[in-house]
Amino acid sequence: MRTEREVNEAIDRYADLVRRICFVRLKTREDSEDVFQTVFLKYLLYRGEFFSPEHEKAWFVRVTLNACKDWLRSLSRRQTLPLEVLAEEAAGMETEDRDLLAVVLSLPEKYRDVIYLHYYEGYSAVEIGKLLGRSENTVYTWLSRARAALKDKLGGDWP
Amino acid sequence: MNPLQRSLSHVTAREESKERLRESLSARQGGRSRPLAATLACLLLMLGVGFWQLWRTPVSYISIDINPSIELALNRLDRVVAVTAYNEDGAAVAQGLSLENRPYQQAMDALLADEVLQSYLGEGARLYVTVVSEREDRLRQGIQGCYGYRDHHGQYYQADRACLTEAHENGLSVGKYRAYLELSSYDATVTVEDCHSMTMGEIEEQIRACGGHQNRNGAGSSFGGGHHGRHH
Repeated sequence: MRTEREVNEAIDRYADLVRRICFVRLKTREDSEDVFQTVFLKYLLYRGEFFSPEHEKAWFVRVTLNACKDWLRSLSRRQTLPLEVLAEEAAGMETEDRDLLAVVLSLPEKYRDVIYLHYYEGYSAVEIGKLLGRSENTVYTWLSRARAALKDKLGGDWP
Repeated sequence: MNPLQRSLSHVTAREESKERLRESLSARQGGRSRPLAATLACLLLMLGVGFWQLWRTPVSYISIDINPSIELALNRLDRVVAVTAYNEDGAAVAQGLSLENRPYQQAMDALLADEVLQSYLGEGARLYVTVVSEREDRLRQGIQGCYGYRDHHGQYYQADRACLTEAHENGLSVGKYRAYLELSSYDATVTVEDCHSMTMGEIEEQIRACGGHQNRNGAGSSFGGGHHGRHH
């Protein structure tokens, strides 16, 4: 089991990451609390070694994505709408930022994931494929379609 | 910083959430007389047994009848825990598919997209879906949203547990048995054995042919509590 210091440092480093993934996966703040518990409890009990900070971060990304998926499977959870999730964060946001996030949140889940992991976290298609358990070609296809959807709705370039 | 990074920089975990998380994890790390690993092991075992029972116990049934008759049994999480074929055609379809543990809509789409089953859906054959469930309303919405159901203009019925029990006692899917009950309410000469060898289309055709004719059996006919449901 990890020490209290290790866990507190992990919370400082990765709580925002977990919250952003929950946001992209359309989880309200209330639902995110439960995902936090799940993810960091797994971290507390995880016996494996992390070979680098990048390895540790990728672990958090995978575990959070899976925790969000598992959470949604429970049928007592209702599906949350993009506008509800966005409304919780909208205070203090520029219109342009809010509009961009509204479009991103309206994309299908798999496109949201690749858009977030590529444009926010800076992962390559190969790395995203490993995180999501998909082939590189599938990730390229999803990225391409997501970019087309963003360009269609927002204009601009999405390289 | 690209536009998405700028936008998402506003989305952060609140300090109070992090604090609650620290307190909760700290409580788990706190010393107790009983070793944590043993406590966790017992808890996981209890949860595991309870969860397994929850996972495997069927609470809803979806009967899919064309000529193949197949029933999907669902658990509380609306996932398939058993697939039962009620005739040879159904067995031929079911053996080629892996539907267990899938959400019911996914299972239905996979079943209705199957090539073997598709071969039964030509030549005016109809798709009939019958549901037995306490959450029938929600399942109906899900089923009527399935691509396969819409593409093949499925007809939807519901039935109750008594009908399900009688159907199985008579070796029929609940969908076909429901249709038999409806037909026999118009034509008392029809027996359940007759319906074993009839397709759903043939049963429904006879119901339509009898529709409006008062050809019922004497008062007091009972189907052992079986009940035929409404048509959607």
